[in-house]
Amino acid sequence: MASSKQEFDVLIVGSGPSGSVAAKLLTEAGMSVITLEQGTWFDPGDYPGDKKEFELAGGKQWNPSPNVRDNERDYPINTSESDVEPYMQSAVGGSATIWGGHWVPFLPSDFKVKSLDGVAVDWPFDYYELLPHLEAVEQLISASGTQGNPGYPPQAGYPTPQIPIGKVGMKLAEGMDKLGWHWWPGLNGMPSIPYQGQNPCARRGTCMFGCNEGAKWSPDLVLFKDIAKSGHRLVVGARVREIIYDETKGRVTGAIYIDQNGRERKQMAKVVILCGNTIGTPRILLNSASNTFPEGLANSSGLVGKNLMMHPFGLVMGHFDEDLESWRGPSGQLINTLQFYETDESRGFVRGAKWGGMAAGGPLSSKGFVGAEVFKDDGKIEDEWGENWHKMIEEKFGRTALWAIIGEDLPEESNRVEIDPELTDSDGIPAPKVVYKTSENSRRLLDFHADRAVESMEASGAVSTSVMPQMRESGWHLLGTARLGNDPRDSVLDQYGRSHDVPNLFVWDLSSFPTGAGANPTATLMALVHRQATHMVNEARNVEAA
Amino acid sequence: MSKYSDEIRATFAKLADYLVPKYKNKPSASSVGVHLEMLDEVMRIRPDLEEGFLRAVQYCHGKDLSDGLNGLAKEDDAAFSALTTVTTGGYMMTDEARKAVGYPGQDKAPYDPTEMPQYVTNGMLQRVIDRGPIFRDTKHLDKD
Repeated sequence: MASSKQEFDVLIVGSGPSGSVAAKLLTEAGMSVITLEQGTWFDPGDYPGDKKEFELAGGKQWNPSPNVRDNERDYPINTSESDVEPYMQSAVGGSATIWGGHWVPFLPSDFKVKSLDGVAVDWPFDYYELLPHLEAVEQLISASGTQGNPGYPPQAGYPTPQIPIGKVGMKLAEGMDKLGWHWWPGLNGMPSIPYQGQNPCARRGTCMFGCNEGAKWSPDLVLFKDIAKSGHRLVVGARVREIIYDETKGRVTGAIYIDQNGRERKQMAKVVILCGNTIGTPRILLNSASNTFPEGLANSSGLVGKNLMMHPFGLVMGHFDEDLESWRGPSGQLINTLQFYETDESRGFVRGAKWGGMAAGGPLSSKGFVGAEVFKDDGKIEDEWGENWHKMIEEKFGRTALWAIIGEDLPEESNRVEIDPELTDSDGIPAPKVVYKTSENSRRLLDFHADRAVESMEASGAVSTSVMPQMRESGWHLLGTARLGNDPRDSVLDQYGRSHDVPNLFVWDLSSFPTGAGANPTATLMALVHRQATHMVNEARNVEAA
Repeated sequence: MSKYSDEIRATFAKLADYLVPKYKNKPSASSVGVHLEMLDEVMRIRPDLEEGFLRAVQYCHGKDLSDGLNGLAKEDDAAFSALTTVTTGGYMMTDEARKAVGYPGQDKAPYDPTEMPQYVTNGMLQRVIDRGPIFRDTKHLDKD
C-alpha cells in the first residue's frame, strides 16, 4: 500500500458544501488540510444547459441519481426497499454542482421540535446560535435576495440584489396575494451581479444540470481554487475505503483510499472530518469496523446509519392561458412561501412544508406530465399522443407554474443506511443499501399541502392543475444518519460534530442533522459547518490529536 | 446514417408520425428528420436508449400502428418509453419544432437587478410585510 509521508493536521472526506466550508476555514486558520474527493473536476463547458440536448442528457448522464448515471465514479445504492430514490453527485463540489441554489435557512422552530411539538429530538443549540454563521456563509456564496421576510427573525441581508421572479413568480405571487397568504421573492445561492468571482445568474433555468454561467455557487467554481493558494491539498478520484482506527491510542489516524488508478493508498492525519453525505458517511463508518467498534466506527450508540430522513416531495402544477415563458430560470426558486410551515395539529399531522415557486422547464418536461403512466388504467396511447400530444404542449409548455412542496420528515430508526451484503462499487468497496418508508405523517402533510397549493393555483387564475404527490424520484435531501446530540446513548456526535466515541473524529455533513425541517438544507448545512469549524479553530489547542 | 438500416428508419418514421403527426403549424416528426440525422444525434447523446428503441421498432414492425403501439405500451413499458423519448427528444432539438412551439431553448434572459420590481411598486410585497411575522419563535425556550 502506498502511503503519503506527510501527516496533515486535518483530513476531510468529501468536497461538497460541508467539506468545502470546512476546508476553507481550517486552511485559512493555518492548519494543513487535505481533502479526499471520490469524484473529479467537472468542466462547466460540458454542462448541457446551453445545448439543445439538455433535457435528453438530464435523463441519463446528468441525472441526479447515481443509480441512473451509473458512472465509474458513482457508487451504486441498493434502493429496492426505499420509497425514494436518493440523489447526489460525485465530483469536486459534490452535489452542489447540480443543486438548485435554493437558499432556505431553517426556521427557529426547526431546532426545537421536541420542545414545541413533542416529536423527535431538539437540536443541542438553537436558531440564534447559528444565525451569525448563516449570515457569514450568505456572503460566501454571493447570495441574492430581498431582506425583510416576515417568515424569519430579522437578519443582516444579502450581498447582491434580487434576481427577477419572472412571469411565473409574479403569477404565483398574485394568487398568494389574493388569499392573503405569505410569499416572498426567492433567495438563491447565486449573485445577480458579478461578485467574488461568480458571474450573475443569466436565468437559463438549468441550475440542476450544472451552471454554464459560473454563477450558481459551487465549491469547484472559486473556493477550492482560492484555498489551493493557501496550501490546501485536494486529491480527486480518491475513494475512501475505511477510516483507520488505532486501538491502542483510541484515536483515528487517517484513511485508506483507492486512487484513480485503482491503487490502495494511506493518508495520515491528526483529525478526520467526514463530509461524505448522509449515505456516504455512514457507509464509510460501517465499513470501518474494528475490534473496539465491531458494528462500525463510532457506533457505540448503534445509531450510525439510523434515522435517515428524506424530505417528502410533491409537485403541484398550474396551467395558465397566457404565455409565462415558464422555461426561464433561475431554477433557483422564483418565490417561496412559509404560510403552512408551522405545526397546526388540527390538520392531522405535525410540522409543515415550504413551497418553492419554480419554472416548469423545457418541452420534454411537458411530456413528463403524461409519461407512460396513462396505460395502467386501460387507457389508449391515442389519449396522450398524436394530435393530443401537440394540444398538451400548447396547453402546458411555457404556460405552467410549479409549487414544489418540501415537507418535514421526522426521524425513525427503521429508516436507515446499511451495508449491502453483495453490492460493491467499481473498486470492490461494499456499497450501501437504503431502507426507507414514507411515514403516515408525511403522507398527510403532503396531501394537505397539495390541496392548499391547488387553491393557490386557482387563485392565480390557473385553468387547470396537476398534482404529483410524493414522487419517488425526489431524494434531493438526505439527512440524519449520524446525528448530533448531548446524550451519547441517543446520538452519534456531540454538538460540535465530534464523535462521542472517538475524540479526533468528526462528522459535519447532513448526516449530523438531528431533524430535517421542511426546507432545503444547504443553507443550514453550510452555516452549521461554519459554526463547527469556527469552534475547532478557536479550540484548536484543546482538540485531542492522534 | 449507416448505423441503422433503412428498414428500421422507415418503420420508426411511421411510428414517430403516429405519435407526433403534423398539426396546425407543427411539423410531423418525420418531416424534421427524427428518423434520419436526429435519430443518430439522439443516440449519440443517449446510447442507453438504443436497446429499448430497437426492441420497440422490432415489436411494432409489420403491425397496425395503433395495435402495435398500444400493445407495446402494455407489454414493454421500457421500450415504449425509449421510443417516445427518442421521438420527442429528437423532435424538440430541431429548429423547426422549436420555432413552431415558441421555444428558443434555455437561453440567457438579461435583466437589470436594480430595477424596482412590480410587486414592490404595486404594494403586493408590502401587504406581506404588514401582516407581520408568521414564524414560531423559540427565544423563550431555555438554551441547552
